Amino acid sequence: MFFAGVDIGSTSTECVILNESGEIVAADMRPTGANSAKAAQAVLDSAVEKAGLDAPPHRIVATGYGRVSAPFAHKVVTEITCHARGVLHLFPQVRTIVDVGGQDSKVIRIGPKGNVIDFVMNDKCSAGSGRFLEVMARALEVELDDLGPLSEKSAEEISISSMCTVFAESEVISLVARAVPVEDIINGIHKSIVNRLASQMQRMNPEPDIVMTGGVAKNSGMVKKLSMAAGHTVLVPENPRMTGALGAALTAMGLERE
Amino acid sequence: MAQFVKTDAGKRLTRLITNGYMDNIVKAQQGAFVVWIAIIVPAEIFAGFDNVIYCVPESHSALCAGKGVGVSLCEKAENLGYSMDLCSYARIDMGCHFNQGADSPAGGLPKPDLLVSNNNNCTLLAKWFDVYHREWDIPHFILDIPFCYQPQKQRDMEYIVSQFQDLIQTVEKLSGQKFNPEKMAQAWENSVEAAKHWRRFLAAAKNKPSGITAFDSFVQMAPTLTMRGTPELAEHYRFLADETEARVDQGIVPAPNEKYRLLWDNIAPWHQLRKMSSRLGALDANIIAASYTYCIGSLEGSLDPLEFASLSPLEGMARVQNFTICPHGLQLRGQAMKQAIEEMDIDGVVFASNRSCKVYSLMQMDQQRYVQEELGVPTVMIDVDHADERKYSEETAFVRLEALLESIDEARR
Ligand code: SF4
Repeated sequence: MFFAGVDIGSTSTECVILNESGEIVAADMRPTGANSAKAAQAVLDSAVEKAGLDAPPHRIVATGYGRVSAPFAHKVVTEITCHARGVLHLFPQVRTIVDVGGQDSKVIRIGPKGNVIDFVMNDKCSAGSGRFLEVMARALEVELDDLGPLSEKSAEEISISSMCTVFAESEVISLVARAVPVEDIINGIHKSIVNRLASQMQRMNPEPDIVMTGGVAKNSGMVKKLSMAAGHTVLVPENPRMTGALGAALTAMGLERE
Repeated sequence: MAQFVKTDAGKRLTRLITNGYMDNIVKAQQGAFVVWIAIIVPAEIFAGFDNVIYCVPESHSALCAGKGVGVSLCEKAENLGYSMDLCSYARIDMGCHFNQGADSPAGGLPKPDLLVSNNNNCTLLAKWFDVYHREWDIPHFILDIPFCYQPQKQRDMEYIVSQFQDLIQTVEKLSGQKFNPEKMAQAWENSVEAAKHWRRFLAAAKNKPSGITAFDSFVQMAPTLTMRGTPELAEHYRFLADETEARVDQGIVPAPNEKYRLLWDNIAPWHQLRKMSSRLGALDANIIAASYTYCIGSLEGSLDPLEFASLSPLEGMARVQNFTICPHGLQLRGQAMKQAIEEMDIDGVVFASNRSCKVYSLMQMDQQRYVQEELGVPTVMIDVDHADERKYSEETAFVRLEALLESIDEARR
């Protein structure tokens, strides 16, 4: 018997398939694009193929912003619950999760029994999210994956005052024009996002272990800064984008037991 | 799944509201003295005159938002140069009335002879009425209502009563009509009677499953604002309460499989009533009550109805000035919410942070912490605007609402 979780986010869609013992037998992801239903079906199909299954998984749970556009799902569950389950599976001691996705950032507090006790999400503005970093990388003409290593070479931390993605972009362009080193600008961008995340986190009284998930957790510069702001080492799963889908797959397993 | 059966009280309400707006237009054409008032301005006073009618721009803006023309009217005001950050009630109203009643489902409000506002909810409102005062050269009477950190003090009541007396004289002078205190007293009695039945209607939420949704009470609130002091209002609320009680006795309830009993904190999201209630209904969740709808007739800091017997009509009306939530300090709001949660056995609280109404929303973060940490009840904060749909994102709100239901489930395990 196999169980699948599909996390349909604003930027990417992920799928994780588990076997009866809860081991990951396949995982896959792709950009969500304009048609989230199509992306969801495609990622499920390719994960099923990777796992070598000849029938669809026994139970499927969908999560993420596009969770309602997955007609194959037996249940839809929010990404808050799924992220918590996924991370808890990997880090049983986790108490605080900081997830920075394409369009939103959220901080989730986990109680001693592994339940979600509270969460905050950014409001309708995408400042401080993955999209913010994408826009900045484009303005600086550097690859997204290079932001982390580059920022670690910075000698000086400059400050980016605009919260708004569009204004921050023009601020960055003017810094480039003034020949401020790219590493320092990136360092400043990271600082501005971390400041926002830190204030979100403070509202939740963060306790260790703190785990960061979402695509932005791949950025080593961000993780270091967040650790400094939190006063604790921030842990990152091996595949920080997959925790939502993993949590969904674990929920699918739970459905079978209900 | 929630059932949407149009109740007889619902049908009656549509008739009452339509007739109310039409009547005002006809009476104004026939020469009545027209007053525009902020909600809670004691409309019973105007019943003391033979030919004075009143209109409530805030309620009219809510109607526009509910009928889907909120955004187009906000844009009309913005085109005139009013900031998008102003309360959407104000923008809708100015967008409508600076364009000869454009888009209004009620044909707009008849032009006023006097504006009466107050500062018990917000200061924006007085500024908004001031715009008409300047543009149309119409007198503007502002009632100054003290903020309350505790139940109203005697001295504040006297201060408010003295302003009512000024208001009566002002209307006499401007309209040339004589004030009759007995007619006002009769209107006040009608209001007290109406409030009694309103409370009976709201009490149906205590039933399990709840006999009403907060969405029913949001729409049924309208005549409290536009028909205060009339015998028709008292009669309508009697009918509403009787019908609701009878339905509960017969087991007819809006969400028969009610799994989650939620409390709403803030003004109604007028543009979402139907969508939000049906989407929640599909999840077996019911917002059964709202701090907003209890602001009619409750003592500050509790849900208990105020007894008016020992008060004169003007004193009673002065007392009502502090009924609404906005002029209440954190402690009073917290006390009332605690009582609501206990009496109605609430599973979770939805704090709707309203982009327009800062005064309602300002204390919500502290309030949320109190409910969550001290009372141990799960909560969620969502972003809304009560009348400007552009500032609301359904998916963003629902991911939070569904997460609230999931955390209630977890807490039950
Ligand atoms: S800001 Fe709030 S209190 Fe003031 S007019 Fe708007 S809705 Fe009413």
